[in-house]
Amino acid sequence: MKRKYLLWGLLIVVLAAAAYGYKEFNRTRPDSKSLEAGFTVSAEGILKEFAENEKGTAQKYSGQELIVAVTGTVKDIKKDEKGYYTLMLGDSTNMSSVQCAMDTLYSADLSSIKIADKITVKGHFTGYNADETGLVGSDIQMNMCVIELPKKQ
Amino acid sequence: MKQKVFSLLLATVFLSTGLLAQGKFFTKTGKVYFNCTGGIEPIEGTNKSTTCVLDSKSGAIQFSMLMKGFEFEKQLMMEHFNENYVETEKFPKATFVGQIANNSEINYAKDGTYPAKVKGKLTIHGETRDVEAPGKITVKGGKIIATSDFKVQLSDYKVGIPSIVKDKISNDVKINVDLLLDPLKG
Repeated sequence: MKRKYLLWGLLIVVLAAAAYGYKEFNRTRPDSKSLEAGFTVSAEGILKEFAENEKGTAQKYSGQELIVAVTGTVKDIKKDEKGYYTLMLGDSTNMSSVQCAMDTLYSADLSSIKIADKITVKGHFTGYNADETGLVGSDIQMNMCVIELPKKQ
Repeated sequence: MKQKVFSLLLATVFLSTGLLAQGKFFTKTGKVYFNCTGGIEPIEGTNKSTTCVLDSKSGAIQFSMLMKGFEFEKQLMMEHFNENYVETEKFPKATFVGQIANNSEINYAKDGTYPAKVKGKLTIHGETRDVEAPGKITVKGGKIIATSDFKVQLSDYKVGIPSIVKDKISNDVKINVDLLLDPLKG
C-alpha cells in the first residue's frame, strides 16, 4: 500500500517537473507594458551620461532584462516594409539619439505619433552603440518598446 | 537668357547627381538575421538596430550592432544566447569593417541592381576574422539597399556549443544582412 502511494507521489512530481520544463522552454518575452522601469530618465540626460563616462554608465545600466523609461522629443520616425516602427528621441541638433525599436504588438498606438511630440517610451535597454566613424552619432538602443502613458494622479 | 537658365539647371542636376555618387550613406535600423538550427527547433534571431555607413566613392563599408539587440521567439533562447553563448556583458558589440571590392563596377548615380563582393574583418565575441561575402547593391530613388547572405562558423569566434546540445545548434551560422541606406547629409 505504502509503495503504491510512493509511486503515485513520484509520478506527480515527475509530471509537475515536466510541466514546469515545458512552460519554461516555451516562455515568451514578457510584455513591456506590464514591466516596471528600473530607471526613468530623459533622452538628453542619459546620452550625456554615456558621452561623459561610457564605462561607468554602462556598469550602471548593466544586467539582463533591464527596463528603462525615457522621456524625450521625437526627432525621427522610421517604419519598415513590415510596418515595424523605430522612434528616435532626443535633440534634433545632436546626431546622437535614444533609438527605440517598438514592440510590434502595439504598432496601432504609434500611428498618431508625430515629429516634435514629447513622449515617454519604456523598453528593454540593449546598450550604447558608440559611433566609431564620427559621422552618425552614438545612440542608446532599446527594443520591445511601448509608449508609456502618463500615470493618473 | 533661356540658354543660361538651361545651362544652370543642367549644371545643378549633374552636380547633385555627382554629389550623390560621391556621397556617404547610412542607416541605424539595418536588419541582421542569423540561423544556426541544428535540429528540429529553429535557432534564429533578428537585430533591427544595426548601424551602417557606406562610402560610395571609396567602397568602404562599416557596420556595428549591439548583440543584446537580437530578438528571439522564446525568452529562454534569448537568455542562453546572451548569458552562455555570445556573453553580451563581456562582448556587447559585433562589428564589420571592410570594402566593396568591386566598387568601381557599381554605378551609384543610376538606378539598378549590381552584384557586390564584400571583404573585411568581422568581430564577434571579441574575435576578429577575415570574411568575404557576395552581396547586392540596389540603387533606387537616391537610396541604397544593400543585402548579403553568407555563413560563418561559431568555433571561429570561440562561441562554444555544449555537447548536450550539439545536435540542436549548428556550428555553421547563416547570416542575412538587409540594409536600407539614406544619404548622409553634411
